[in-house]
Amino acid sequence: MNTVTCERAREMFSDLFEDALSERERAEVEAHLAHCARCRRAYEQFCYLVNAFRALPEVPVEPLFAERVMARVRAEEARRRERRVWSLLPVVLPRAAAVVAVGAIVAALVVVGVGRLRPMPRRFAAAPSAVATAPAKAAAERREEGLRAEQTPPTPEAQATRGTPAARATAPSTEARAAVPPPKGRAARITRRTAAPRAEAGAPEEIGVGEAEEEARPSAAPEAAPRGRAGPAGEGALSREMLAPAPGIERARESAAGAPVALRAMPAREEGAADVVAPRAPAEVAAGPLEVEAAPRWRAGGRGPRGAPAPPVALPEPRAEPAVEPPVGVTSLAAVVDHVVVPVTEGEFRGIVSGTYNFELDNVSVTFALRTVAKVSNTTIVIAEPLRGRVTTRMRAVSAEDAIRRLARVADLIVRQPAPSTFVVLGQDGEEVWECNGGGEEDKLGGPARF
Amino acid sequence: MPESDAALVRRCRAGDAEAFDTLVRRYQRQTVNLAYRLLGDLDAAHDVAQEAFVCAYRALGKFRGAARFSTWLYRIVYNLCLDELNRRRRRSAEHSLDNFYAADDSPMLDVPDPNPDPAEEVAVRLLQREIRRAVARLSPTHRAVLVMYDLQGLSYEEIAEVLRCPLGTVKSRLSRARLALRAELAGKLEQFAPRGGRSDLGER
Repeated sequence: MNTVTCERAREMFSDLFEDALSERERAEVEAHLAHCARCRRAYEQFCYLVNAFRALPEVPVEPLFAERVMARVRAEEARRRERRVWSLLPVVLPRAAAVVAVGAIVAALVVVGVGRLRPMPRRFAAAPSAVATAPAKAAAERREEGLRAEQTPPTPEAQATRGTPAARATAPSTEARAAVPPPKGRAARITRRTAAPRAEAGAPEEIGVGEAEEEARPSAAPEAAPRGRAGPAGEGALSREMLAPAPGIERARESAAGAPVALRAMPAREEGAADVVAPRAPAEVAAGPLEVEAAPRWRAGGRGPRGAPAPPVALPEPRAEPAVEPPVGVTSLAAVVDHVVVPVTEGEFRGIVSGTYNFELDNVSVTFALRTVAKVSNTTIVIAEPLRGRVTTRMRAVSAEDAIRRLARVADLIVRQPAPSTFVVLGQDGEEVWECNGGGEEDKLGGPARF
Repeated sequence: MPESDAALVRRCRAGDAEAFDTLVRRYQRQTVNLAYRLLGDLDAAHDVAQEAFVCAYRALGKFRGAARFSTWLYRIVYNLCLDELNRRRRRSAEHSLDNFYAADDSPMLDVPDPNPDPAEEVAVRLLQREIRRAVARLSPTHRAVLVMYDLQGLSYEEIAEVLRCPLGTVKSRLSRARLALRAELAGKLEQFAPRGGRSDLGER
């Protein structure tokens, strides 16, 4: 009755396991197993293996995944409608709009606070609908300030932060700065910032937040004159070792000293500029210099009225009391960082500047770290809440996106820590080391910083 | 009673983007996990899953309902994963197999465990680590069939829809994939699998 060879029997293991054999086949293979010890053992292992495989755990979906998808979907939908409108106009017009919109994205590098970023063309085309409320007005004022500040030409230091060899060459002061150890991080920071034209904007005490908040302006006020990001002044705090662009990015950064980099790096995707992966809350940024309010994204309008995709209207957002209950499905109060995708790479739609970077961040605030990454990669980051905590990390040859995600994860980790604590996260390859300080009060933004 | 996929798809196509929200929430877990098991990288998996949903939304107009929405979506995920894997192959050095499925070892992943026997549990965990490595070495097609059938619980029919191949092909691919996996693990199984009797590790 031995009609089945060992080889054939093994081919039948899978169906035997699934009970998917015919009576006859089953009898045959079982007969074979009855007298062939090796195949019997092999089948045991086979079953064990399949079961062990089936017991692999599921991985959790990141907390705001669906929100991110829907933000893009709504943007898409809004864009479609937009296109319908545009299609009535001469072809030139939308193109111009797209170009300008790209400029606006470039300006909109980092948003602190809660912003529902609307698709750029709409922003550009439609009247600003967000300015009705008091906080929004405040934002508008700040935005103007920011505008003024932004228009001032970049300082050598600012250029140095771009990290290109060329830029570095034009900024010999980098060396000097690196050589002089700041007496106290914060003081040093302030000095640098006063050197930068933009420093006027924030009171020195509020450097951390003030600066972050400045960053918010361009996005908070996307209707403002679109412009290339000319003067990222005030970021002189980066030592040049921190930003060592890996070769891939050199091309894009070649002329990084000036504004048009991003413009050049971004093939204008006509239809839409940014794929805005934004949290759901509709409120525009209205964060004061000291407190970046924890605006609860899950409240006040949430997703907007059903059936009306992405209404650009920013509802008046009541200032949030910090202790808001998280909504079901969001695991932490500050499900923290959302990256907003700027379409940049040539050809590929990957969302973020291609190329890899090395980052070395030594005990900097998570916000600063994120901002750093955003800066070098022309990425917009939305930080919904003040991020506590500081981070020390080395990331080698990571894409900007990776870096952001990792930082976001760390930020999330820290925020979830109820008590101040320090912990270390080993990177996937064991090469990166994160030291996170969950920090207490003083570690809030603007705490004793050592940038 | 929850709204059916087909009904939701109809609403989406009628311009109701919010109906899509329900679909996203319904399928995000499977989508992310499928991508993760194909790519071995949690971040990339989220990216691909996000992209897949957006692509699906864009393409809903072309979705004629011949297949299930789920398998149609998984097919998009599968294709995007293949693209991603191809891209990686082109810049090969970047992704080493060591990182494959690193998220499984992440301390953040705390999966409650039903297994009462710690020693057995350790053995299974060790074997699972080996399995993950072995799975990473399989061809994407084999990996896909294994993942969809054994991890995601898709039927042969559904897998055939995803891969656009005949039912029989799915079966034979599954069989071959399992044997390939077993071959990859030849030595390890000897080490970890207990002797005697069919293991009754928890079926999922």
